[in-house]
Amino acid sequence: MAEQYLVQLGDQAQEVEIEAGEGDTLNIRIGDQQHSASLRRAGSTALYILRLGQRIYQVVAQREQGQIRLTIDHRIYTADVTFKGGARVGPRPAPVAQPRGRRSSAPAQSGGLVTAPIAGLIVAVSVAPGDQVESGAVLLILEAMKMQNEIRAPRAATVKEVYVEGGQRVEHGARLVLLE
Amino acid sequence: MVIKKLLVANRGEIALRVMRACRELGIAPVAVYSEADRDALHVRYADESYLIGPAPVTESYLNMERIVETARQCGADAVHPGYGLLSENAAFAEACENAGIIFVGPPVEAMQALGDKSVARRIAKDAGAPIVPGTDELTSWEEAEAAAARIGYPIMIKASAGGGGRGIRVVQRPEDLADTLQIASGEAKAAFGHGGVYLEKYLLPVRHIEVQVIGDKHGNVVALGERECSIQRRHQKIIEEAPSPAVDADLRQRFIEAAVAVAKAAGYYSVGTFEFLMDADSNFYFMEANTRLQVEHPVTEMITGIDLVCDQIRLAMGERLPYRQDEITFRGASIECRITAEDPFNNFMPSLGRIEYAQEPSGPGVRVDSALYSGLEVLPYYDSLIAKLITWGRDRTEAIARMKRALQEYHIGGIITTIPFHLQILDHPDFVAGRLDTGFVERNLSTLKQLDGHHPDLPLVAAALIARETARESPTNGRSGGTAAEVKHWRLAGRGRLMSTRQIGTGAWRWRNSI
Repeated sequence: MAEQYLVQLGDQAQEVEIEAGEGDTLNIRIGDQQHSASLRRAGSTALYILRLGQRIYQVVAQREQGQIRLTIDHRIYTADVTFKGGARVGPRPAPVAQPRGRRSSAPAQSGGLVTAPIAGLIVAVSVAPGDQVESGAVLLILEAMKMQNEIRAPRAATVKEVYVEGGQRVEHGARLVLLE
Repeated sequence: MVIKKLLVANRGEIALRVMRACRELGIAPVAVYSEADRDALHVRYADESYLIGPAPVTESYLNMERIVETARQCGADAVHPGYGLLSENAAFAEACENAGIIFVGPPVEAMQALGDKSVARRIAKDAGAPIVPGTDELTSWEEAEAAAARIGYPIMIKASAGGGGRGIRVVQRPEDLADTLQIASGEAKAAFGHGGVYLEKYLLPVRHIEVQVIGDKHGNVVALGERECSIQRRHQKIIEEAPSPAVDADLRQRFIEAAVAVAKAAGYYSVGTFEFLMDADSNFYFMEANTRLQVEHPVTEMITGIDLVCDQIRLAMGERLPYRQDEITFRGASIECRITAEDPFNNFMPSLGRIEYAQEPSGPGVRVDSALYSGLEVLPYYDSLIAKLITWGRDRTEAIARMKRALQEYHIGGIITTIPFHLQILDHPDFVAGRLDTGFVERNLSTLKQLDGHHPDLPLVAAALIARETARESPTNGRSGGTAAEVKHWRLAGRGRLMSTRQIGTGAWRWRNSI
């Protein structure tokens, strides 16, 4: 009997159906696509050797805040996997609401909130509450890894609040500026 | 003067590089390390290692007193500073010597003179080398404004105490001069402890060509040819090669003469690099001297067969240069790619995290200078350089082919690196043809995008199978390797969370284009 998984990559979710085949071969169905695959873990390392069709891929897997972070050929994918049912038995886990932890280093915004893309030192703040800023205007300068990174406005806006000042150390994800 | 024990005042790949030379010379290497580097490779490689402070460099690797005291107490005869950090700090060299410890580097006076970039310009000029139009260190805003207007825009602001591409800013328009001066001065003060800056004409298009020099304490100076370092972004070199595809034997001879003249005028010994800019008509201008071993020294080693670090240590012991200028020969071509923990498709933002698994390339003509290991945590305190990949080929074409092959072999799992970016540069028709200038990267940044890659089902299959495998390995199934809590984590989520995803910036390529 096939096992069903729901895999969410970015903002897209896909059902993946897995059925054991001959030997260690697994028959996979995604939509109307059929694949033959197998997976082996290299000892107790984070390296998995995935055969998909005739090709072999080296996949490095990490767990991060309930997600799986995969590196395949210099690319990183972050996925949520939910076991949907099938041959496996086990309690269905309850959905847990929690913020999604991203290592993304893009200037993170939630609404008009600009947060620190990386931990570092605020070297200079170029704006004050009430300022009108153009899209791309420098809001502040964050020094990390010896480089002065210019944190820019993602769009034209009015500065509503500035949470930091020059000389202050901030952690990854810290609130920097609120735009309106 | 014999060195039996040498303390390496650095970290990462260069610390390892210097220690390897020590091993070959029968010298006992000593490591120093910060609290964040307890498990680092250079610490494990050394015979002895000493904790010198917390993670930030100002409290550890830049702590001169602590390092000199450690060297004294452990009985080291010499200190090698690597590159960056204290390597161009004349006060550090002096402190070592005052403690009776050999500083593996140039004489203090030469470091002081050449280390001040505006003084270096004057020495070069007096030695007969052409220099880029510019100013001495600025003393007032009025002076800066007037000089910039006289030299003409675009103009470069450079830190007097700078080097390694730090503290350089380009100003396109007069109205940006004041703000940019402030940033550049601030950056200079933060990085070098001295905020002095000067102006230089921003020449474009221009190649960055530098000459490797090596000299002994008996007045002999030899130049080991040039390196082309035009592939840069924000004045940070990305790819270097030797020889330059734009330099023929006659031009090389002129470069060598200019570099040796400046080195001799400064009373230089040890290894050092003299940097020049070269315009489209092969006119070249002295820019600055780097009074230390360079990051990109391996490409010179590959084409000359000379071990710069071993020789540098021998010269520090007072040995004579074992070769004359006319004995230096060049064979084949070599390229170096600097692999950094940065996201090349998201404005080169640092990519931090744990390198869960690393597998380095090998095979004919491939050299890896790195301090990577599976489990290494990439931290925000240090330079983002995590590995240097160097290839050699009988000609440039073969060196490039080997580099592409080696980059593809490099597996670094867990963080984003610049490897895909290097692969794209190496495929660019201008790069392949050797048509290089320092504007190459900025000019092509918009077209150097992540290529379409995997079949969209690949990450889906990988994620599902690995989640399944992890669950099967869990103790609930009577097997080891994972805890019940982990399995639950792997299975949590659910539709309630599906709508909460927001992807911005990097997500555009990481998800939509790449699957």
